[in-house]
Amino acid sequence: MLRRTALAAAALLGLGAAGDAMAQAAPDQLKTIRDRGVFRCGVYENVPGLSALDAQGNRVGFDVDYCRAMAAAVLGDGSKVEFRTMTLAQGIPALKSGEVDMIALALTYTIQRDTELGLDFVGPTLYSGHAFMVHKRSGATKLADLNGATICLVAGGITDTLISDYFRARNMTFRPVAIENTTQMYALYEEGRCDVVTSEVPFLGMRRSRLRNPADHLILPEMFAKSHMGPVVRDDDRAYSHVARWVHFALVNAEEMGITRENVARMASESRDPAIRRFLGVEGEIGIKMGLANDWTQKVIAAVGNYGEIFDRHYGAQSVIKLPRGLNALAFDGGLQWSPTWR
Amino acid sequence: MAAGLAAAASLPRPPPVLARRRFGFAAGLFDTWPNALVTLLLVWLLIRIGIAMWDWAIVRGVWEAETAEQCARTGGMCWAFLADRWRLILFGPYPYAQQWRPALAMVLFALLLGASLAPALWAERRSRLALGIAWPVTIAAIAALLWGGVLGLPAVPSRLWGGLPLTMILASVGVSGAFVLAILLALGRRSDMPVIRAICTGFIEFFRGVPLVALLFLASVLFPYFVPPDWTMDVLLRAQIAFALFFAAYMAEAIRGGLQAIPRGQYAACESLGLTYWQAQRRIILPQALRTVIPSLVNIFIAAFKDTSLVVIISMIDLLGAANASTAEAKWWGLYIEPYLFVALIYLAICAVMSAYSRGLERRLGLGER
Repeated sequence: MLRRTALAAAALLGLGAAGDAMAQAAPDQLKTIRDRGVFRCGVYENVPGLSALDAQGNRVGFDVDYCRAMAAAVLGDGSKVEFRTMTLAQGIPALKSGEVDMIALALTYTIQRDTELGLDFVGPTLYSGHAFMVHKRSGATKLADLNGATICLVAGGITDTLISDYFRARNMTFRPVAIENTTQMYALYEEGRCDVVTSEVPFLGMRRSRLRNPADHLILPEMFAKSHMGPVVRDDDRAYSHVARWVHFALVNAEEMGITRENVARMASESRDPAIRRFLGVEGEIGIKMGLANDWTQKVIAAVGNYGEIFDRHYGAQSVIKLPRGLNALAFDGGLQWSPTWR
Repeated sequence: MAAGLAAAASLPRPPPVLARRRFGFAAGLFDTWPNALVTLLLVWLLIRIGIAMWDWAIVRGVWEAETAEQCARTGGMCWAFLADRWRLILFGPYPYAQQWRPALAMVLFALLLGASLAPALWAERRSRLALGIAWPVTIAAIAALLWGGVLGLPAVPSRLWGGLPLTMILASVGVSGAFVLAILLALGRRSDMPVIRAICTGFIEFFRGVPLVALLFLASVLFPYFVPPDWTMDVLLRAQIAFALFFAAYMAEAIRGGLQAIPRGQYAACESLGLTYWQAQRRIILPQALRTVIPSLVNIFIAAFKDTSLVVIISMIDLLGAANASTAEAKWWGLYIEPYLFVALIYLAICAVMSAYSRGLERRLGLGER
């Protein structure tokens, strides 16, 4: 028995190594992942709402759920994910080198990243914008007051370009202080190392609530740039990019159809609605033609729920953050989240 | 009778042990006015700090809360947070249901170490033999517990290891590997063979001159670029090797100091007795040299133990990393005193045990009394 286990382990190890080697040669990403048996996903180490460890040591968060959804779609099991923690600056090189199959680092969707860097964006899964937070004692109350300010921002992001565009257009100057780690950035800001800190609005609000004296800090009302974020995959394998994109659409579509983690199994077996049956892979061959199992949408929803459930769990009503859906509501409800038609 | 006395008197006597002056418990505290004043001031300060700590931890301590915000109301210590997250801090991302395995592994390791460090067990040949068997057996058991995949234990890859067990593995394996290497390096640097000497000197100067953080980055990030793509190596093992090499360089210099303290005459005596190089080192030189450098070696051990926390920068979740991770979920986000205090006490306790043991060892070997 022991020997058999050892042999099986050795065989598995061999397979894993072979899978690694093939990642370099042929860009059949779906096959690579299936051969490896585990989905590798780059996420942040400790960012509330996006990626963190819960009391049981499981990785949880909005971004984390997109990794699990991908694993469920490709491997049929949302738990077959290997998380690689990384910073924003490490993320793109890690993705390009094939160390990970996807990065879910709330990366802002930009034209350069899409067209020059060889990346494919999923989503946007979160719509937001950048704003500034300042110490109230600085007296600044609007963006125009920030001329000459020292601004803390995360290294490797696009925030410094966005700020310098905004400032240059208005003949203003600023001094950027680039910091690798978000938590450190807010600590330095609180110490007064910089006058201003900037981030996307939901993160900024959450961070302010946890500063020693939230009332001493002001989030300036104007957003100076839009930031529409999502997970990212390499663009060298179209079939795989499609899967990544349609996993997000499946999550949104499930919410539109009222399919939840709880009722997905019942919907699949009982629903008579042909649209739902087609979506869940009970009818037709959409999944198989994508190179997946026909019931991949069921697996995805069983693993993480629909888009609304994911949002609620990590940012919305069920979280301590209590962020309103806002732009991230379904298009039917006046938001920006939508899914193409499933047929 | 008288003849016997005379014979005894002519025997060489052991060197006189320097008698220490004995003082009373409170000596030097109240003997002069300024001293008394300083003493009273310090006592007052200690009491004030004690009261403040008591007030913060117990009186205003919060035992039941769901979130950091609820906990912050009294401004006291958030016990509810520790109750919720202590296992995450101790074991990191190791699968929750399997955490008894690293716990048991740590107990086994502590027992083995405790037994090996008891001087009574070195004396007898039989117990030395038993220890010689116990070591490989226990190490194998610990490895089986942590990795699993045998005896029906589910396999847990090393990237999921974390918390205190990871810190202890990094420190103990790193330090033991470094110690062996350091002895060779120290001997090599004093060797008469030019190439060996140059290699050892170069090694020591390189690894001592490069920051540990840079070495860890080299091991975790750059290493894959230097080897063929299908040539993979566990990142834990890579970090482990980086640690061992780094601390070997420091230890080698400490040990070389001990070697230099051995008078030339002893080397000559060894040669005249016909001992080979390795016999002389093993029986005569090293036992004395190592004994001399116990304080500086323990110094390096303790530094190494604490420096393992640098693996945080290569995304390994050791004790400190797990403390960082314990507040990353939104509900406990913003707490920092509690997790850091908790791990600080653990680090302090382990370092205290190490230095207490080294003090005992020094006393037993009669160090500091010559």
